[in-house]
Parts: sequence; C-alpha cells; structure tokens
Amino acid sequence: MKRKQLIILLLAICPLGAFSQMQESSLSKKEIRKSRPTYINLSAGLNISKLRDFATSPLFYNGTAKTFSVSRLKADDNREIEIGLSYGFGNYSSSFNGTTSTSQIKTFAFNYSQLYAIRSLSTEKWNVRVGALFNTTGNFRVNPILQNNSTGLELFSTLFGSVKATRDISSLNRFLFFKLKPADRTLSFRFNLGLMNNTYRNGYAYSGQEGVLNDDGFLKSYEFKAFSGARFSSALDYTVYLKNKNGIRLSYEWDAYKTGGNLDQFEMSNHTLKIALLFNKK
Amino acid sequence: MKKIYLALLIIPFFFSCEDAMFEKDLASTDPMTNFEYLWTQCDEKYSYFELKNIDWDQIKTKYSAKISNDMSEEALFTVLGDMLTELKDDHTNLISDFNISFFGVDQLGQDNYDSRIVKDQYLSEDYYISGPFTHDFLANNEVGYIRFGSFTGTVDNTNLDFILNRYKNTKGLILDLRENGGGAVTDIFNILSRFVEKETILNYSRIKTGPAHNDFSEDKPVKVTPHDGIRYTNKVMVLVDRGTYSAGSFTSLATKALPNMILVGDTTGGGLGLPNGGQLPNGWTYRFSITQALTLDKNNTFENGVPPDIKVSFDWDDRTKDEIIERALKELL
Repeated sequence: MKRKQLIILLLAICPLGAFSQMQESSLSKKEIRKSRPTYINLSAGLNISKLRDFATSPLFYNGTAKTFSVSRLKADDNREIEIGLSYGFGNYSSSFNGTTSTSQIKTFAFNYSQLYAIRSLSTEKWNVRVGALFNTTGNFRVNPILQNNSTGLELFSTLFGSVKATRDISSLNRFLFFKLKPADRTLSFRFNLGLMNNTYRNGYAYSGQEGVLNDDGFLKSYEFKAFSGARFSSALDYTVYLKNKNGIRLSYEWDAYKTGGNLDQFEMSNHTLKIALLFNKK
Repeated sequence: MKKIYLALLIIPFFFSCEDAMFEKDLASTDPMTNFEYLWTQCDEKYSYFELKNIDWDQIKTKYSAKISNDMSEEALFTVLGDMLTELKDDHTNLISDFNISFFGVDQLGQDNYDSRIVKDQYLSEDYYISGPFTHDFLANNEVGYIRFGSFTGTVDNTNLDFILNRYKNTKGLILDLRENGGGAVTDIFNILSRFVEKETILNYSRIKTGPAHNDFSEDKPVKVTPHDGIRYTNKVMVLVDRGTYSAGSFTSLATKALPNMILVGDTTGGGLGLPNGGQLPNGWTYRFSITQALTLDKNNTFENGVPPDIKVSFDWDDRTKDEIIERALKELL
C-alpha cells in the first residue's frame, strides 16, 4: 500500500519539472520571475466544522470557528506559488441524550503550494494548472469532561497532488439578481488529493505518563505515523481585480481528513466561507 | 453562466463526500451498544487486570445478561457502574448527569483519622495555614506537624519555603496524608524535592501500548531532583491510611526509596494507575487507570495499597489522642 502511494506521489511530482519547461518566452527565467505579479492575501472566514476523536469519544462534535489567514501569492498564467499561515478558533459541541460537552479548539496551519499551467488544456478563457500543495495543520483541543484526557493536540502534514481550473469571466455582466460592473474577474476551482498523509498524535492510551514520571517532555508519548489516513480539500474562488490592481476574493473551501488506525482514529471536516483582500505588491 | 451555477452545486457534493469518508454516526442510547463499548474500552486499556486477577470475559457474561432493550437509563447506569466496580479501583468511575459510580477503597480498612482530635489535642489555637498546608509545632517545638489533605496543585515555593524555614530547627516533621484522596501529581514532586539531597529514582512507571492485557511500554524511571533552595534533611514521618489514595499513594510509594521518610499508619488505598477519560455513545463519561507504578524492584503489587513501615491503628475508644501521631512522635523524639 505504502509502495503504491509512493509511486503515485512520484508520478504527481515528476511532471512539475516538465511543465516548468513549457514556457516560450524571450525573457530569461529571472526576468519572468521578477515580473510575476505578487499579492499579499489577507483573509477572514467562518468555518462550519465537525470532528470526532475515537480515542476519547465515538460522538461527533459540531461547531463554528473563525479563521484568519495571511499568505504571499505570486501568480501569472504559467505559474502560481503561494505560501501562507492561518489561525482559527472556536467551540465544538456534542449534545446527545441530555449530555452536552464542549471542546475548545485552536487550529494552526501552514501551506506551501506550487502550480504549473498545462498549455495543452488551457485556452484564452481557461487556465488549467497542476502541482502540489504541502499543508501542516495542528489542532489544540480542550474538552474538560474528558478529565486526564481533556487536552488533545494533533498535527497532520499532508502532501497533496493538486489540479486547478480557472475561468476568465470578465465578460460576465450579471450574476443572479445582481448587475456587475465591468472588471477583470475569475472563477476558479481547485481540488487537492492527499498523496502522503502523516500524523503526529497521542499514543495508544491517549494520556501520556509524563506527569507521573516527573518528566517535562510534553510530547514524549506522541507517535509519528507516515502514510496514515486520508485527506481531501478543495477551494472555489471568485476573484475581482480592481483598477488599482488589488483584488477581492470570495471563497468556499472544503477540507476533510481522517487518520488511520482502529482505536484512535481522528476525523475532521471544515467548510469555510472566506473573504480575502489581495494587495498587489508590484 | 450555467457553468458558474453548476460550480456552486459542488458544495452539497462535498458534504456527501465527507459522510462517505467518515465512519457512521455512532451516537446511541441502545443499552447493549453502550455496554459493549464500555466493556471493550476497559478490556483494551485498563492496566491492572492481571494483578487483580480479574476475568474480564466472565464479567462480560455476568453483566451482559442484565442488559435489556427496554431497561431505563438508571438501570443501565447501575449495571455499567457495577461492572466497573468489579475492577476494585477508585480511579474507576462512570459519570452521568444523574449519578457517579465509585468503588470506595477507604471502606476496606478502619477509619484512622479525625481532624477534630488533631485540632483539639495537638494543634494550638493559632495554627498556621499556608496554601494547602495546615501546620504547627508539636512536642514543645521539637516537631513540626504538617497536614496535607489534598493534592490541590497549589503547592509552590512560597508556602514550602515558609514551612520548612519555620521548622528548620526541629528534630523531625510529621507529614499527615491520611484521608488524602490525591489530585495533582505536580505537588508530589514539589514536596519530595525538599526532602532529597541528590537525584533519586523513586519508582518506575509503564503505560498501556496495545489491546492485550499485558501490552505495556518499557519501565521508565520516576526521578526527583533536589530543590535548589530550602530543604529539610531530618526524619519525616508520613502518616497514611486506607483513605490515602492516588497522588497520596504515589507519595507513599516514593518514600520507600527515601530513607529519611517513614510511613506510619495503615496500608494506603492504592490508586497507582493514572486514570484516563472517555465518553460513551450515549454521552456519559467514564475513567479508569491506564498505567502501572512499579517499585524499585519492578513490582506492581502496591496498586493494592502501599504498606506502612510502622503499622499503627486508631483507638476509637480513646478520643483524647491520635495513636498514629503519638507513634510518629515516639520515633522522632
């Protein structure tokens, strides 16, 4: 199984080098890189999420969280590179059979992504890119009813294979009941498939014995597992570019992941609506 | 335009995707479902089946026969709580919004502590309270008496410095841990670091690492290092009884490795496993032990109680004195 996943991973990454050679330009690579538009992307969003940690409970916890993120985006028709951080927080509750329990969650994430255009699939209106996304997400959870297991921390690092299709909809002058002003607009959809899912979580018994060992090693009972579980994510973005070259982006993002294992599986999904301001740096 | 609307239809698609990706919703009030879940959690994670010689399969047979589809929540709670009580462990509880099950290890031995007798017969009217400690001089200021009734997690350098400085010229201390049901383990090491002069291995610990009853990690040493400040080097008599439990028992176990600390009283209640916590499909919560504490010779039998070095019992026919304090004073003077 691991071998198969490794082969898929290599097949997904190898084409990146080839696509990067497809540019036909009289400019040098350095000149192209320097001329590529760069944006600082500040966004805020609202998550609707659910999670379940079988290590402590078979019940789903549902809730909403606020999310804030910042990223640096360099993109043109040939290449897109984005690096960013995000932070979210919220309360997730399980209410069943007269018992309500709440888990407070803080989520940190790091993203790095590179996408390359596939010329053969791209047209004047369409741009299709493939590439990879590396994401590390960490959840810090506190659920008091679980007593010695009340604190949970988990890290998920995933290497995704990505496909992104962008449609130029600048000619669109009406959307639902709204009349649109002339502007550069794009609608894009990105899908990410987790090729290598790694987890760093509590060990078998969930609670570590550091306390009774008089040992400060906070994460000593944690275990790293490579190729464990599954993850998918996607993003639907609607972007309007202003006359000053800045942009506004409305997004719907979906992210779902689960770990492997039997007793201690962790499952979480996020549906996020975001608004972002893109500040052009060039 | 149609393509845009089509794109928006992917939102419900992803909700259905994750439903397929995740396991089914297991929330349930079905009595047998909850019974099986709790039994399995204990079977795969509880740490003292072998020491206590508990046939957990036989327990399943015995208690599953009491489960029926139409039983009330209260009746189900009674069956599940009774099943956990078979573990004979006060670190084991079932918790609902209407009841909490428990074993009650302090009932296994006689009561050996009366705070009123200590106050009336031994402490002065102006005894001190420093953080979680109640303390005073005894025996013409030759002995310091320190009552520590619960590991509250509030033991700190300020209250320990004050107490040890106050009793620095005494012949010895009495640390009274009777009916101390435990609490924060950090307090254990904050206290013990004042009574050692070098790094000392107190005991060993191991944790469950797999579903078999004897799947454990390697034995890891529990160490205490001397506090870099005020310490006490004379004898300390540690008073214990059946009500001395959990962190109280950990402290008692540690004294076996410390020659200047002597246990006086009755066998402790045990509770040397670190309890975890979890939730059942019906929302109730539970806890039970997932570690074992071992002596320096890697023996786990002190889970059933740490035996005193000097066994003394209370005489309830004579309420003018505390026999256990009296014996401790005799050792120190």
